[in-house]
Amino acid sequence: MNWPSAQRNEPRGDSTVAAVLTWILPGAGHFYLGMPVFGLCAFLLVQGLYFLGLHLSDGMLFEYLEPDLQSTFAGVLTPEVGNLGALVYHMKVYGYGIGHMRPWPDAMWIGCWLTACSGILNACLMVQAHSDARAPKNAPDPGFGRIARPVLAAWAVPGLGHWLQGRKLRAIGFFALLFGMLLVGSWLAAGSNLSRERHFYYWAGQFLAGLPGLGLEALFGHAPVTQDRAYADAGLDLACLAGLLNVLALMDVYAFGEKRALEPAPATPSPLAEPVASGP
Amino acid sequence: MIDPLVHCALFALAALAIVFAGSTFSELDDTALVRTLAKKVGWFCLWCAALAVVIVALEHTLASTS
Repeated sequence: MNWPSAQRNEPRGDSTVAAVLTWILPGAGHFYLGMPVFGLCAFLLVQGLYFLGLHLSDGMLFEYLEPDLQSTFAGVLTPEVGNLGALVYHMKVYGYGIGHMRPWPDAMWIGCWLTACSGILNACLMVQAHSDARAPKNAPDPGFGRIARPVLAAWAVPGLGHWLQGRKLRAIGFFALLFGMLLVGSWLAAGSNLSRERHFYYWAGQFLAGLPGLGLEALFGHAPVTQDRAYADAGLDLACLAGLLNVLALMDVYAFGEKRALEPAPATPSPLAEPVASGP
Repeated sequence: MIDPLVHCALFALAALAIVFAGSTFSELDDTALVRTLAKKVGWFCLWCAALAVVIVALEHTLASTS
């Protein structure tokens, strides 16, 4: 894919329309761009993740919220908002439950992971649709994943997207700082920061730091809190900050990938070209 | 018991991460990013300290209940 050539040829479609369509319904942006097979696969994967998550959690995710936080727009600050159509369906069908407390299903936390992962995956699909829309209409390969893949990798492991782009010093910096903050934060809070049930919105921020946070949650996130921790709040803030700062890393990875795609391809001298005369 | 040293260490960690992540947009070259980091963290801490002084001053004047 060479975007300067896309400027000369007709692009596949409007990039904003493709991204917004994908946000509302995963894969719809690629159907709009004339790529139905990719669109269908993306739809099945993203919606499949969300609905498997809904099944495992019995749709009880928003019952984690205290009654005073159960507003119409409570879902806006969750990772699930990346998959808007599924989130709206979730809120309409399951909402805040049946009005009284009931036991969580056994696989509740895995179900919540899956719905959240579906939102992040669809956000990456929006990035993909946005870049594919600018590829030339007749090009056989629009360059699947050249920009979106590093973005997804940067979410999964802080710094991995930079590493894939060849910016290794920056990658090490991001990984050391953000993973370090997650570790220190979780140690200070004795793992209590890792539970979505205890800290619904802080968990959403922390989730943006990707798989390391989920790994820590699987290991330490479900232990009972047995004593007062002097720095529990500081730990919660640090871990959440790590996730929020990873958003800057994601934006940097996206901007770098886009800049590189927009650079004109280096001109290769033709072997038939006349040699340039040197000096008088 | 809250230890001021622990507070300072946690603040330094958060400051370093904030400045590093923010600098990725202004410094495109990795080496320049690392070389200018210490100076930027210093400025960040200085302005945070100035803001803290203003907040404490306001708290003791406008928000005082005595």
